[in-house]
Amino acid sequence: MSGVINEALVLLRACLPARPLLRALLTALLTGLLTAGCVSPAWDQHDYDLKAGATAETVAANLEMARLVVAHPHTAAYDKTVLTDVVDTLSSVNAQFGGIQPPVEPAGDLTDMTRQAEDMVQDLLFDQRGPGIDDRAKAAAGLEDLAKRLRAYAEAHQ
Amino acid sequence: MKRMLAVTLGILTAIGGFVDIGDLVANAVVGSRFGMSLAWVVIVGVIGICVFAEMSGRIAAVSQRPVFDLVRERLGPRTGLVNLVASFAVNLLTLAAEIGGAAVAFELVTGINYLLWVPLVALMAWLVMWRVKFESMERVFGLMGLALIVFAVALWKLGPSWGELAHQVVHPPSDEGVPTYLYYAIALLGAAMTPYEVFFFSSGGVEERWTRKDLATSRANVFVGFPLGGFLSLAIAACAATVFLPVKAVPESLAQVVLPVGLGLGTIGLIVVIIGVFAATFGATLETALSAGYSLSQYFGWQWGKFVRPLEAARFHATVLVSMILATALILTTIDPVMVTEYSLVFSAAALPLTYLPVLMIANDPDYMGDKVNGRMSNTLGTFYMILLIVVSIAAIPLMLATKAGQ
Amino acid sequence: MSALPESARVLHAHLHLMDRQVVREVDGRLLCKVDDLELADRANPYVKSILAGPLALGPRIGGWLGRLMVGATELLRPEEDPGPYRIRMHLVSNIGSAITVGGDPEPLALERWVRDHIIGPIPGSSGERPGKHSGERFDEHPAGHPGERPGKARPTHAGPTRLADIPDELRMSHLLDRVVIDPSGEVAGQVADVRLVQDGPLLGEATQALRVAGYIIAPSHTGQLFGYERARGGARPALVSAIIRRLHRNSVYATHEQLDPSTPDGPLKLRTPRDRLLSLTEL
Repeated sequence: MSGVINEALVLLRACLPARPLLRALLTALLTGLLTAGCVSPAWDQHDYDLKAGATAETVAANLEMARLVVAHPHTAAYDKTVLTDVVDTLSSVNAQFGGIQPPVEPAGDLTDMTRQAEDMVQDLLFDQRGPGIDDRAKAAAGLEDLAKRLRAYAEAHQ
Repeated sequence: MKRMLAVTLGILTAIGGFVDIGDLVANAVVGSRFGMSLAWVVIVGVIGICVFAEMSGRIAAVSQRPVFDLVRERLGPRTGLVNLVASFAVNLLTLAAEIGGAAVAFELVTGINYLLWVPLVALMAWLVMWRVKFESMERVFGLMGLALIVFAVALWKLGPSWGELAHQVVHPPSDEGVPTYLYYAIALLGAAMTPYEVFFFSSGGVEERWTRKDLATSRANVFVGFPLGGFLSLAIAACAATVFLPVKAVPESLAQVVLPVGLGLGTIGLIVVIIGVFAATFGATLETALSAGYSLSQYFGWQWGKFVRPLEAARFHATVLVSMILATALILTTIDPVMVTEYSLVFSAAALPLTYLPVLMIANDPDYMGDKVNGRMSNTLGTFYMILLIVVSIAAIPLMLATKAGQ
Repeated sequence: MSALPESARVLHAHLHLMDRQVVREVDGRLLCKVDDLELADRANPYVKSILAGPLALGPRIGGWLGRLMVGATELLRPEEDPGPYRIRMHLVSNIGSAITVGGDPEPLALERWVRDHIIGPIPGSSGERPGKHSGERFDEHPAGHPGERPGKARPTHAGPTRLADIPDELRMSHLLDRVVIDPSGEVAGQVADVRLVQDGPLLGEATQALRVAGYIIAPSHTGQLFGYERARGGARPALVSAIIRRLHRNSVYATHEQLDPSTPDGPLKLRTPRDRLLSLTEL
């Protein structure tokens, strides 16, 4: 990968003006573009904890978003779109966090909670698509409770 | 009446250019994470875009030269080409995001996945650019975009604690780091001062055949349109600060951005805001696609514009067509429009000085401007913004890397 | 423009001509940019024509991208020896924020190709209401231009001369880049701009040519002048103005006669030592 990046940088340099400031600016821009997509591994337990905390926070935020929609329904199409977005985010967060190699021990309780979050919203989405969510108050309370627990986890891992 | 209609150019540029997918996303995200503590950036951005749009409008009215003409003329072919490549790339990213945004508006109404709407939106936009007159185009979407005012109505209906919002203005939340705060400040500034706004505004002035007589119209457009856009931006941020900040939710899609309006005004409000989002993103689709054609044509000296028949501006229309195809292809790769927006904002912040420096220089050149050269006020503000933009452009990419794009 | 009645008009090649938009006078259509200028008469050079198009722009951009532009154009153009698009200076009727040219110059080759092969075939390209347009569409003449035939060489152009056939020293872009050395052989700086005075030989019937009168020589790597060094009064952004003036405090002006004309290649040689030249601030 870095070989390709270097090649690209050399190629870019060739066609840049001979002004050092501009050249530096453009090189920075390109480097940023090329490295922005890379995922970093967890270096040690502390780093892993930080990532776990951030994951818990993201999942909690998405649960709150789902709760807002479940508690205040609008049109079926709109509610479905928001819930779909939440499910997509949760599943990608789960996949990403699951992909990090834990240095010592995996955060089992966190993974349980994030999986549960994904399942909950997924079920709500099924209901939304099909018969409709019957007990909205209860569903919202469930989402809120899980979000609270995730936030407590995030507090503990900051 | 005629004057009223002329001001719609300003309103379109404000709604479709100032409030486009970039502002919708950036302001909602910032509001939900930082409350109103970045409101000052929106104000700095509005004043900045007013200063430079006024200059470029004045240049267009007096000398009939649009901005990218000046970029090539003052920076020369090589530096001008660097600017062209950077602006064109940012423009394409923005165009892709806007097409995605307009398609999402359809998804919100129909529930059918936005990817299926993307080709339709792109085709519609192209047909409008191909067939519809410049004036009608801007009036229709300018007026439709005014629907976004529901953000302000919704804010009032939500009944936030105004004291709390005011308190946030000077108190950034303590759990966000300084680099993240600065990163979002840059993204907001990039959203407010996106270069395509001046490409489009000055080229639009030439399209409408402004002359010295239209200087008042140009100024009215700038000083009505952009502050209105800034006001809407603040309303979006305040809505997010009211609904999302207390529960620590962060909007990650356009559907979530408009949720506060639904909570405040119910389903009717939601439908109105979706219409507004469609008008703003579709209007901005037109603006960015045309800007791609404007910037390339003006760099190479090709005939451009919708004021001649497509046949007589063949390379211009071919550029617009190819840009539409590329952007549509990009968004069809299922890349997230919101993510594309966030990156394009930061890259556009990094490219700002290259566009605004030539504008400042030509606005002072009596060869072009005659007696309409900059006054002391424009020059003082212009110089201040040049320094600011240079700092911003140097800091933008390192901050993006340091904060992993604000995470 | 400020042309004093008794003295000839003074322009600067870089500041007033290069990279400006060229507009067709009869209908205001945009034609091209001034990508380069062709000079004539080595001893007393004057501006002969405007050069435009990728063949003229490519060498100015330079590097592989410039070569690519030139190479691709030479490959795609149907002529055997394609030359840059040129407009004779006697057609120029006004030099202002754009360069206005009279006569009836046709659009560039790429514009014609794109028009005939891409945009023309799309319905509605001729700007009529849909369903109303007849068979004559993209091959018709632009309004007010009867007699124009795309694809045919126009008599106003001297046949295609390859850019390579124009000697380097007769291209403005080449002059603008050149290094200047003192009689002692030391580097005196770089040509930052070329001063042109409109008192050259007659072009056409009534227009006098823009003659190369002298050179603004700036210390190397000070960047462009942007016209700020010639600022007299007027409100300018004080800071930008001060920076550019400071950068150019050592710039000097050499008349054409103060340069040794016998150096077609390599650096331009001064006959007068640099420190005896007029400083720009005194000009």
